Amino acid sequence: MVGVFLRRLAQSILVVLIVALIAFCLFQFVGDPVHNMLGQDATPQQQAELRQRLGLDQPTIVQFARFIANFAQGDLGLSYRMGRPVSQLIAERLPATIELSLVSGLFAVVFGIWMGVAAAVAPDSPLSRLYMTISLVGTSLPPFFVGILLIIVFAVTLGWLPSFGRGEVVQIGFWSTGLLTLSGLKALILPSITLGLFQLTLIMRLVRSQMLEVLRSDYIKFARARGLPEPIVNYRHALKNTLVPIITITGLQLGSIIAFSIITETVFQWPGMGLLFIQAVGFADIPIIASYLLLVSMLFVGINLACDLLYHYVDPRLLDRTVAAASR
Amino acid sequence: MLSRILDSDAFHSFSRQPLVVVAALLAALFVLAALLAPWVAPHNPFDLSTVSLLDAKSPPVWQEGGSWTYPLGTDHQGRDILSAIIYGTRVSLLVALPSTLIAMTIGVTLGLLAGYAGGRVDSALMRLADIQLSFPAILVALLIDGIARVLAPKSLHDELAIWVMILSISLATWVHFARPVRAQTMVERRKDYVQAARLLQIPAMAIVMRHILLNVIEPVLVIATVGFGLAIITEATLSFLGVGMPASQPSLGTLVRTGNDFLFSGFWWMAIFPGTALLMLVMSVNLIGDWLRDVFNPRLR
Repeated sequence: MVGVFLRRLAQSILVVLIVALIAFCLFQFVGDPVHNMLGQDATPQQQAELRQRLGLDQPTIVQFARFIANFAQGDLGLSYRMGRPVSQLIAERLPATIELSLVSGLFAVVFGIWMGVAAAVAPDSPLSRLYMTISLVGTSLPPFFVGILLIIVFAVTLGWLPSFGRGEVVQIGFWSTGLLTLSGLKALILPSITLGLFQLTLIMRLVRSQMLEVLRSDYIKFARARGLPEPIVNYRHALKNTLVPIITITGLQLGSIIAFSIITETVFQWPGMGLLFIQAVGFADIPIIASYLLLVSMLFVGINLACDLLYHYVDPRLLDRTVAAASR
Repeated sequence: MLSRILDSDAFHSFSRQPLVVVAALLAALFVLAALLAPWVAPHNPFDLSTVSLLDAKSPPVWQEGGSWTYPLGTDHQGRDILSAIIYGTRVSLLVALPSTLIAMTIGVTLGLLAGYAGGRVDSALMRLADIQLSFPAILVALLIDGIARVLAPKSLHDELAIWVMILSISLATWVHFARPVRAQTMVERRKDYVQAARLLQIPAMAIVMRHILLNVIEPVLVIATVGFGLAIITEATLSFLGVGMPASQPSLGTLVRTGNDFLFSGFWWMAIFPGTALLMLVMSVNLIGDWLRDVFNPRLR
């Protein structure tokens, strides 16, 4: 177990370093940030001063080492466009993205499992067909278009829900939350549906196919024969045995949710990290782009690592196989 | 030949599923319209001499103020939405089709190589695949797109956009092909017919290309179809985010992006019609993909 863990960890660190190198190379290739920050009228002396302050006068390898060292200490540099520390900008935006991702993840899991079970229990019912149609449309809908449709219906036509922003937020320490105000909660609804819909269809399909297998097995037939009520058979006995793949896939999807939040945040002008990133791409604001990439890759690698370990933990047979493969 | 096709299992299952027939017809319609855009589109939205600002923001024909000249209305510059959709489909397909083909070529080649060669080649390639799979394709595409943009001179951005998109999408999705092809190749390699071919001293290249490739191609077709739908969505998403096709050469995603700015002014048709076209295109591709999977592997689902 420890060996597997160490191997995975080494691999993960390698991945993060590769992404760091890519992020760093972005700095090297993009035009002169000093020029961008000071504009045309700066004197050579001002330019040299800023160059020194940003550390751009050092050799490349030193800059890379410093980039890593600084990143490890939470110093992500100054945004070229806003002239503020990137760590500060990200800290401001992080709560918005995390809250949105968690709420949409929750939405996807709860409805995905519920609809998947319902579709598996009665595969030929009209309800099951409806769910499968939703799933087909859901996988074919480009994520941004879901948001636009929701805005047209619920914001523009009906006027029930806001179409942009987070509503009122409450500041708790460094964390700004929209979960405690009515307008904040209302503002969460449409973006969460937009972001969670794809994951919902994925989880639903997975639960349905897993459930169809399990429901065929003998112990379920016995449970029915014993006269256990339908919900207990379905949820307590059958669903439990489908959870292993569902947990891991769902975990991996959490990473996707954070990546797809770029799109949702753009549609809804949600003040999160994704919006910060895509705006930075437009202005070639490299420190923000690089930091975002690094942060997200670390998050992904962490999630993958956790899922991997979880997988080995729930299904020890896998571990034997991995060890056998490694020693071969 | 024709009678063989008409009598095959695939055709029977095809003709028995009306939804798949409709999807195939719809997909064919999109492809034809895109191919023949200059002839079938009622207007040329990029010919400035025929576009008039006086016609701008005209609603679709069934709404008050709409006219048959512009059946789906016009955008903020007076361009016909229907024609823009036809030309946009052309751009979307022009990006998605080569991306899928390139991704397929890279993925199948590397998958065959990893599966047949095994050993270090295999573990190096699969490690790379693992790493790439741990990131969603859209993020990889966004990253490659960003790097390509940074490297290319600013003045060439619009002209290079289509190549950058093809490159980003194909490099982001080759793994989807490589993984299953590798797994299947490893299975095939142990089979008797491959062993026999090796004993006959047939060169490895010939064994792989002539014998193994034919036995792994069915799942590849399914992945390619689903991947084609995904490529269309990825292209549209990048364009929507403003890092894809430029406004001078709009794809369906670019059209939605432009229309999105006018959502709150009540000109809903500018975003909704291109988006709906996108949805119908991807949905028909996905339906065909689902059907192909059922035909090739009836055990699934």
